[in-house]
Amino acid sequence: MHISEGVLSAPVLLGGAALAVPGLAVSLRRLPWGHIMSVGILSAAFFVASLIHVRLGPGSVHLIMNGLLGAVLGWAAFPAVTVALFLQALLFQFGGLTSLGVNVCIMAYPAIACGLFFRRFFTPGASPALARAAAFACGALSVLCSALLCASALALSGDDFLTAAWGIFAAHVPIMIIEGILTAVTVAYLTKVLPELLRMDAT
Amino acid sequence: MAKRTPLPRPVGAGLSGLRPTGLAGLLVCLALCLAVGRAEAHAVFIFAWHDGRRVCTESYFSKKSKVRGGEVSMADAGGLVLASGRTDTEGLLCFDAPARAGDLHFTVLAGQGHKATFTLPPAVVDVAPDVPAPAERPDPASREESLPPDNASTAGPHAAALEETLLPLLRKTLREELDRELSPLRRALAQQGQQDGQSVGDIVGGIGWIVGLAGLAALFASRRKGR
Repeated sequence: MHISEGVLSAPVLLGGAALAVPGLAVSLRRLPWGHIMSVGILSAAFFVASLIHVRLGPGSVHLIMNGLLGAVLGWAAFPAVTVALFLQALLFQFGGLTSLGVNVCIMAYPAIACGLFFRRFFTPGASPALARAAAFACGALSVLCSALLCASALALSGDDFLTAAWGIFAAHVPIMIIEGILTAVTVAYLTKVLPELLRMDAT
Repeated sequence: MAKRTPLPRPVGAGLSGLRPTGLAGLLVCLALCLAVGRAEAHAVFIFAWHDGRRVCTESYFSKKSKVRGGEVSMADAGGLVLASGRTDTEGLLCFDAPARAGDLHFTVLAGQGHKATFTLPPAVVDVAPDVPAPAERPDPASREESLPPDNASTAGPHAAALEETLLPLLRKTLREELDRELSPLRRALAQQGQQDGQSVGDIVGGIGWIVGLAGLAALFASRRKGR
């Protein structure tokens, strides 16, 4: 899911960077400063999640966890993902500095969109089964949307969309299931132990 | 009875407010991440080495995970693609060495936006041609002159002819044997200094950076709140 340097065309790289800036600006303005350490810890979790690989046929795919960040952090997922992707590019050569904007868009926007949509089901009064289902959908759909955005970015740079999309989708189906379960378990745990963390925007 | 008012949460609260068991669980998860992360990596890398008359490449995600079926291309210093092909199950692909010496640029496309490049400088020792150069070739006439008269009439022509046919063959065989012996060494030398995914130091350093940045932000936030 991390697009390397030199793969995308210049207009796509510039477009990605241009789209990432407003998202970052809005999220920084909405950042829950009282929960900044939680944002940092989840950013660190996202940073190491890409190192966990699931062997799949001849290749392997890695965890992303953007859905979990979206579910817990909401808008604050954007800077968390940006910092983690920047350090991954710098330290591990995952993606690249020139493709950072595109990679941030690919992973952060689906996280925020899914997070903001599904977080309404995480309220303490909501049915636990519904909350778990919503959290699962948040984790799985974030990965699906990221895969589609990744395929779109590759298609805009010359690749065939359907081929790229199918390749990435097929490789990430197990990741969608794993991340859905991870998000559901984490949200269920946080709802019990630390419910205010799921409403950090309001505190 | 007075109504209980919740204490204000300190800046930086949140996950840090977890119970010890929860925090321990998180730390175990992070440790597992580190342990598993060492086994597999997902940035793609490529390196190349001279292998006699060939130039070989190896593409990999990590030591244990090779790029299978990745598209590798070889280009000259001017960017002209000289050859391309797909890696085998071991991530290997060899090309015939181009006639012209110069830097060679290798690119691997491993799918899903994964790409890596490598530049191979020209071989330090040029591969010797099959037949010795005319200047180096021993001149049978001069050799006959230098031999004693009794030998020149009998052994001289035979020895010269033998040398003429055997020497190139000997050189060729020797070179092939040397290439075979030196190939793993050249590959090992080329592999040295190549990145092998992530080191624990990088992982811990990255986490440290993130926690440090968050701490810095929390500090600024608390100062702003204090004013």
